Amino acid sequence: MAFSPLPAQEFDTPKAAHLLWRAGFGGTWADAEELAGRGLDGAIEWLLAPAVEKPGPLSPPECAKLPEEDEAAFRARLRSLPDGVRQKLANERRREENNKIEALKRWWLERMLTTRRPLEEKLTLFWHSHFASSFAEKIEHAYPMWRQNERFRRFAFGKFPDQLKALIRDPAMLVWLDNAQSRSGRPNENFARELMELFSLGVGHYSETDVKESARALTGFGVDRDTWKFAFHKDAHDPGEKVFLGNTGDWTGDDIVQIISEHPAASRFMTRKFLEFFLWPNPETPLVEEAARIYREVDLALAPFLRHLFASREFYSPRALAATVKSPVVLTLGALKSMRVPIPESSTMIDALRLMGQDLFFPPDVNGWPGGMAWINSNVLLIRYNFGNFLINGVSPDDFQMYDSKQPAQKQTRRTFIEKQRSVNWSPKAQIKALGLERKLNSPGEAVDFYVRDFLQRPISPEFRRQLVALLETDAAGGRKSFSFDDNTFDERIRGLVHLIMSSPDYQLC
Amino acid sequence: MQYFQTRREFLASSLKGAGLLAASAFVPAFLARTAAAAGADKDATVLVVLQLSGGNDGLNTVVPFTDDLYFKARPTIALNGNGLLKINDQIALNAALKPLKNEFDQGRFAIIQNTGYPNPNRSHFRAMEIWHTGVNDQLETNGWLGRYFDAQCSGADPRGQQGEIGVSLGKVMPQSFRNRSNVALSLDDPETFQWNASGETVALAKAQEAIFEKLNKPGMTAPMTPLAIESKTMGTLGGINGGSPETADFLRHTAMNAIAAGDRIRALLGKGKNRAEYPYSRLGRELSMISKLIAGDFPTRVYYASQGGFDTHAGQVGSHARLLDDMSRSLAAFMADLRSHKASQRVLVLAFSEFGRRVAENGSGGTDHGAAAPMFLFGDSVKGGIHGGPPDLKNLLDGDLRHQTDFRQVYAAVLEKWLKTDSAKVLKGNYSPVDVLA
Repeated sequence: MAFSPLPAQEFDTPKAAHLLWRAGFGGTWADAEELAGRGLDGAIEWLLAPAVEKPGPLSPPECAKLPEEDEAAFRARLRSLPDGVRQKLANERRREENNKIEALKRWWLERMLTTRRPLEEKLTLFWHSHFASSFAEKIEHAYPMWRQNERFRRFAFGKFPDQLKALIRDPAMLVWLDNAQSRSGRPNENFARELMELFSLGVGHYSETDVKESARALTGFGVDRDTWKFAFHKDAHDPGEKVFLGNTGDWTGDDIVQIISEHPAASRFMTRKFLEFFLWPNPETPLVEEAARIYREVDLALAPFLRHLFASREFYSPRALAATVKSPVVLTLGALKSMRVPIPESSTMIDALRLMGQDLFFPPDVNGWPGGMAWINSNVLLIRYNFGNFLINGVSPDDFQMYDSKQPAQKQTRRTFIEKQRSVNWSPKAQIKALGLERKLNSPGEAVDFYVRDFLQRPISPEFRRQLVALLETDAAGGRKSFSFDDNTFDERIRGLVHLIMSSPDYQLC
Repeated sequence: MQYFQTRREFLASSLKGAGLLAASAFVPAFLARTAAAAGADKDATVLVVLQLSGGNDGLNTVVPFTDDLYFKARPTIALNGNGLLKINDQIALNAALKPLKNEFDQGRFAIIQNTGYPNPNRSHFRAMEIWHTGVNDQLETNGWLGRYFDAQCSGADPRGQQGEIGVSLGKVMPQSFRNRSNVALSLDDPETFQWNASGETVALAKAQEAIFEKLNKPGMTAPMTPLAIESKTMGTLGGINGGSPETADFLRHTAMNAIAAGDRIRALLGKGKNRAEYPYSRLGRELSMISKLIAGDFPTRVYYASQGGFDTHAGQVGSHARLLDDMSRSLAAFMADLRSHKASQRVLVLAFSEFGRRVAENGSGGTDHGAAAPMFLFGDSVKGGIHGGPPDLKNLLDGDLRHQTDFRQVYAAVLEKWLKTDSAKVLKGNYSPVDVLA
């Protein structure tokens, strides 16, 4: 199997919508039309080399600043305090950093939602999972997590060896995988092993000796804990001769990653991951081989590789369409985009993402988020289905209350109960008016088609459509009622419609 | 009577071990029937698997405290004297295992030394996969417990009367549970096992639920996007298949399993009482929930809990002790709780980790990935004590302990003696069961 180019004239709005989901975070039908209007090449170039917006700021947002007092001074001060006070101060510091990382999650979500460089953010998310580090337990500072995030953004489209060279200088990673403490003579193998197993080659392409030898080469790649900057500790580095993947020399970390990226297993391992992420699950070996060949041909640079993939017929083939399970980030941001609403003030997004299993800056382990079908289990699926409801109400899933008529505490009517906990007033009616579309949404069928188009950009079965139309014709008492834009229950009905579209198996896929 | 209604309140209350939950008035009727039909076999044996994730340091858990080679290999982190719980002249338990010492003395705690498998893998993920699938020499995606589920419910409705649904506590489904029939549940918070209609009147909510049921009823193939369709607003869309039928079916089964089990689980966790004090930890919470489900005769024979953090590459003495302390107090509480509910005789706990750690410490006061390590069994029916000789520190393989007992011999004992199943079929090979169960 090989990649063949898609004839440019076949690039239409549904295909542009598909591209927008995979290379970004979805959008409305109008967004897809805009992208389609650029033509196939224009759309791909817009994604790969966006001329809009300057790169992100290089000074940290307020929430990612280091504490003013550096680590050494803080520790000295801690030591000078009596026991009880010391613990209190340490807890306070931890709480501050916890608050900062929560704010940083919001900062990134805002950026993903509003960016005009969606692929750059999507790749930043890809690298965050591929080169996974977690705030929890060892790092516990927002600043290095932000720095790592900016690093991923800067090298998002770049060459693999450059990415690895940046990675072995990333303070968050070096602390997370214990390399910051690795010393000549008794190296710590944690980072060296994962560097090959999870970040570049995959199990089976290196020996235990290669782990030990590369760990020696990486000794001294450390961190200044006061500034959280990379520091090469010459005294801790083992300058001796190493035999790594069959090559002998007095290798350092840079040599190791160069040897790794030239290994044929690296291009296969990485392209398999790219195809899983962008194309379809379990890509077959011949396709991976072909992709790896292309990746090597473009010197392991991601931008030209993706240009090839996004221009291929395979990428838009029936097999690829709706073949991937949306990650929680894509699911939730896609919903916000389709609803044309900003991130709610409440912790709805952050709590929902945590519950759906994609807590930003807290990947579950060094393997990142497994993705695909692993996004789905009984804990998270109904959170995903209910997300529309949380969003419509602007309520965090943690604070959402079930209405239960049997409970003595809830003598109130369902309407009062639901309205009382609604903190966001998403008014579809006002929105439609602002878009000047009210005349086009005057029958239930038109309304269903409009929202299906904005949320899915692909049609639903006639049976599902019939059900949704019937729902729009159901009145508050369960009887039949006519439907028109002017009805004062328009908002209520559309909210129910949108929640059901999002509660379908269809909506879980893109 | 007090009702807890939001997740936040549920989590707060269940951590205190006093959760009381309200049942939803809006569980779709066809699902409620399924849940009600699942009857429990009150005498069936129950297996609880505890995964110690990250690679537990066996040598500092079950300590060869008189072996000079141990102290030589670990000049700064070897444990000596201080509070070690001496078992015999060669072996002592880490002081943090104190809450379990009584279980050991009563013969309800078995330690199987030096477990592992040929050509040990030192990757967390590959090693975990080997322990989960029980297969180390060929590709296998289903788990050993998943294959057990499949063997139990072949031909029957997997969610029916036999109640062979495995329940895994926590946010993710372990690979051990992966199976053909898609029957396992992962359970973190049963409050999430329901669909909330958004309609502002009961009538509207009911209409929405009816559509939701149709959309998510297993076996239905219709609502997924068809191959090609004429759409007035999108033009003709050809060849859009909206995902494979298997994916849709998996989604529908998963939703239905959760909703069907949700009411029952909420009720049991709500009215059930823990009769022991669990530590305020994730593992404590998971085991306290399992205890309530077992005491309430929830029809499940296999539960799965896990504790993370055992990947102690640096500064491990303190962190390892804290992990073992949490594990010991949680397990001791769990067993006392079950005894108090007169359920202990039908529960067996199996604890494992994906590997032990390197015999020699590294330069960061920690240990890197190793190989063989002890497994633990707890319960009234185990043959307590130490099984197998002390670790052989003279005869290492690449600096790691060699295994003496294949971990699948322990699985085989559990399958044959406890779950009364042909282990060869489930394990895809013949492993002679170790003699650890009465």
